[in-house]
Parts: sequence; structure tokens; C-alpha cells
Amino acid sequence: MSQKNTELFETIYRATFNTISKYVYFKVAQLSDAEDIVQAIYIDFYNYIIKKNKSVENVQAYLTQMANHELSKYYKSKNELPITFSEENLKVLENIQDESDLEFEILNSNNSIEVFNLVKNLSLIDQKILGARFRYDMTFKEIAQLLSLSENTIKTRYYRALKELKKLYLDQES
Amino acid sequence: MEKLKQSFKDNLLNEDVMFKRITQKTTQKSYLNFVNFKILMTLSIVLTLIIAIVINNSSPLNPVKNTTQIGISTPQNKLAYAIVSVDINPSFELYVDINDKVIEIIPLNDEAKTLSYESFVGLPVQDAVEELIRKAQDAGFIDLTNTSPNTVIISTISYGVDGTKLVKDIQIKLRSSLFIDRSIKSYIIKATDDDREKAKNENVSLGIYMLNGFIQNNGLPMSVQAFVSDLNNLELLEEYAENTTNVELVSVIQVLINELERLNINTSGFQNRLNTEGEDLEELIEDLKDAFESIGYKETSSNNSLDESEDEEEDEDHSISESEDDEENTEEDVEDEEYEEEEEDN
Repeated sequence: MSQKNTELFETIYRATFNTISKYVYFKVAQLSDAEDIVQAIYIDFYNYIIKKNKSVENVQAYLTQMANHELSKYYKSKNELPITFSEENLKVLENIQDESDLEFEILNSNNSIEVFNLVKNLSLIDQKILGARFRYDMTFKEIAQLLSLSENTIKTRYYRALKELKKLYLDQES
Repeated sequence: MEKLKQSFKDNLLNEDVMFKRITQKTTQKSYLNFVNFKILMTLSIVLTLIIAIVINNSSPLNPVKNTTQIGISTPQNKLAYAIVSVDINPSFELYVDINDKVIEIIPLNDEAKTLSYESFVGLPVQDAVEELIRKAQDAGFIDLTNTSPNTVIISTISYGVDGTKLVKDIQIKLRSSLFIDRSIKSYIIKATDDDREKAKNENVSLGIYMLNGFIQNNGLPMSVQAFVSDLNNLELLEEYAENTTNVELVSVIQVLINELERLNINTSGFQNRLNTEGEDLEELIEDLKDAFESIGYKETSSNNSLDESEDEEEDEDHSISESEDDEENTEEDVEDEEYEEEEEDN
């Protein structure tokens, strides 16, 4: 990469990464797949646009278009459909708890990677909800809209996932 | 909870980690390409050299790369497509999005920090520039009693998009503004990203850097007002700045006429002059502004309105010449129409 190209690429990357990564993350099941797709999008963007000094009028829209292209390639190769969640499949039996009731000191005492490895043991939907809350700072309402579920379901699953995470940690320790 | 949050930020599509990975991949790819095509490239270079020597001994062997930058990140990491630097002094830098709306404003000096500019974020760039000049004027930064011309320098840089419309919009807005003192003259200069970098290195605003590029001042940066106090410099500036063409002047006139009509003032005389071939458009603009002054148009009012009493008087004196729909036209509508017409003509 030339210095000028690197700077330009980084500028665009930093300005668009959050939106593009979020867009992809909630459309595929596995985190590793999301990482591969996001990586492919930016590498292609670099090779076909930046390197060739091409001009794009709306970078964000262009990258989203590229994401759609990569996602359709991904669905085809994996013979998968975009992930969807339905209320029926998610049995929501618990009441919403107050966040302050939960104790997270244990999780807080652990290191970042260890905690994240525990997250991988949660169900896909719970991983997505926690990811949306903690990585993308989304509100329950936004997550509900994104995953086409009710806000109540999201809240319940969120608190349940946190409890589950704590349990996983304690099990691991014992 | 903070630790848990951090864990997600660190491990779930982490921006920095991904960036490192992507840049590594692109570099690797470049290296592999380089190895794979090494022989081919060598041959190409030799061939290029031979052709260059045969055709013209003085041909440049290192042609300047034509790069197109397609956006720039703002200090808050948003994607901007243009930067507009306003030097009154105070000086501001405005970051503009794809729709020519201001997404961030950075005060560049202490004077700028004394003004409240935050509410101008979200405005169309031409409106924000007008408001900034007006603020500076109202705060006394522009000496309206000054005999030498009061000058505002507006420098624009566009990244990957055609900045012509942005420049024209600012030109029309400032020329038709009824809130900026008529003694203030604004000049628009198109700059490049390189100019901005150099201005940064010299710790001066883009406008000041551009002005000082026109003249030699023993390497010392000169303020806008000091610059234009020399008539030779002013001439240089007029030559260098973006011209206001007749198309823009007509747009300015149309904006002013529409505003008069909105106030129920008969504008047929002005319309006739506009339609007369050979009419001095600059003079017509001045006459239109005189008309606003003569009816006591509130120069400092943000409501674009007359004093109520005078408004009533004018209602009696002048007939309503336009339909209600036309009266509702905003300045922006008129400008948009002008551009559409212009584009159609082209």
C-alpha cells in the first residue's frame, strides 16, 4: 500500500466499519463468517476502488452493496438462508429482572478473552443480543427491530443470557 | 458490566484487529503479485523506457499519479465529502456530508471559540456559512465602519465529488443574503487536500494559507484584512477566486425578487430589468437590496420579516402579484429550480 492509499483506506474504513460490521454480523450465524465477509468487503474495496483511484459517490452505500454481494455469495456457498428468529421458537417464560439484581463482579474479575470464550457457549440468539448491546451499544428497541422480535423477548433473553454466562463461569471454576 | 462490554469490544469484530488483518492481506497480495509478475514488470519497464526515449527524450518517466480521494474522516470519525474553511477572522472548518449538510464544525482559533456555532451542524453548508459570518458580524469581529473592504475568504475542498454545486450554492446564498452587511465581500477559493496539509503544517487556516500563496510576505502569514488592504492583493484575489457567473447572478436576483414578492411588494420593475438585454446584473442586485433597506427589512432578524407596521403600509401600497403557492417558495426551492434548469440546458 502506498502511504496516500493507506491513509485514504483507513479514513474510509474507520468511518464505515461500525455500520458495515454490524450489518454483516446480524445476517450470518457464526462470528468467524462475519469476520471473513467483512474482511473480504474491505479487501475488495481496497483493490478495486482505492488502488485503481476510482471515485465512488456514496462510500457507505457502495460498501453496503458490496456486503450484500458477499452475503449472497456466502449463503450460496454454505447453502444457507439468512438467519431469522421467531417468537414461537423462543420460549420466553421468565419475567424481566432488574439489572441491579445481577452480580457481575465475577465476570469483571476475569480477562477479556476468557469472558468472550464463555459467550461462545450461549445460543446464537443470545450471542447476537449481547453483541448488539455490548459491541454496538444498541437499545433493546433497536435490537428487537433488527431481529424482528418483541422488545420483551429481547430483554428477557438478555438477562437470562447474563445469568447463564455467570453460571458457565462458576461451572468452569469448580 | 464494563469488563463484559470491553470483552465484546475487544473480541467481536474489533475495528483495530480487523484493520490490521485487512492491511496485512492487501500487502501480502501486493507482494505475491509482485513476485509473480516480476519478470513481466521488468520487461514492461524496459519497453516503456525504450518507447519514452524513442518518442521524446524529454518525456517524463515518472508521470504524476492522478489520485482521487473519495472522502475524509472528520475529527469525530464521520465520513465527509467536502471541507469548507471560513476565514473572517474568526476561522472555522466545516465538514460537509454527501448531501452538502454540515456534520461537524471545528473552530480554528480563539476568536472562533468565543462564538456559539454548534446549532449550525445539520444545516445546508451555505446556510451555515451565512450564519457564521452573521454571528461574527454581530459579535463585532467585522468592523463595519472600516473604510477598507471587509473580506471573508471561503476555501473549499471536495473529496471525490464534484464540488461545483457546493461552491455555487455558497455564492448564491452569500450574494443574496440580507443579513450580512453589504460592505462585506466574500471570495470563494477552491483548494486541494495538499494545500490543507501544508496549511496545517504552517499552523494557519486554509484561507490564510491560500491567500499567502498568492504573494510573498517574507514567509510570514498575513491576515485576510491585512492582505486585502493592499489593492494589488485584492486584484490578485479577485482573479484567483471563483467567478460569479451571470447564471448565478440571475439566481441571486431571483431569490431577492421572490423574497420581495413574499412580502407583497410589486416586483414588475425589477422583473423587466432582469429580462432586458444588457442590464447590469450587479447593479440590479444592489438596487434590489436598496429596496429591502428602504422598506426597513430587519437585517438582524432571523425571521426574514418586515417590522409589522411597515408591513401593513406596504400591503396598502403594493398589489399582490403572485399566487399563494409561489409565496411559499423558499430560497432553497428557487435555487434548486435554477440548478435543474441549468442542468437541463447543459
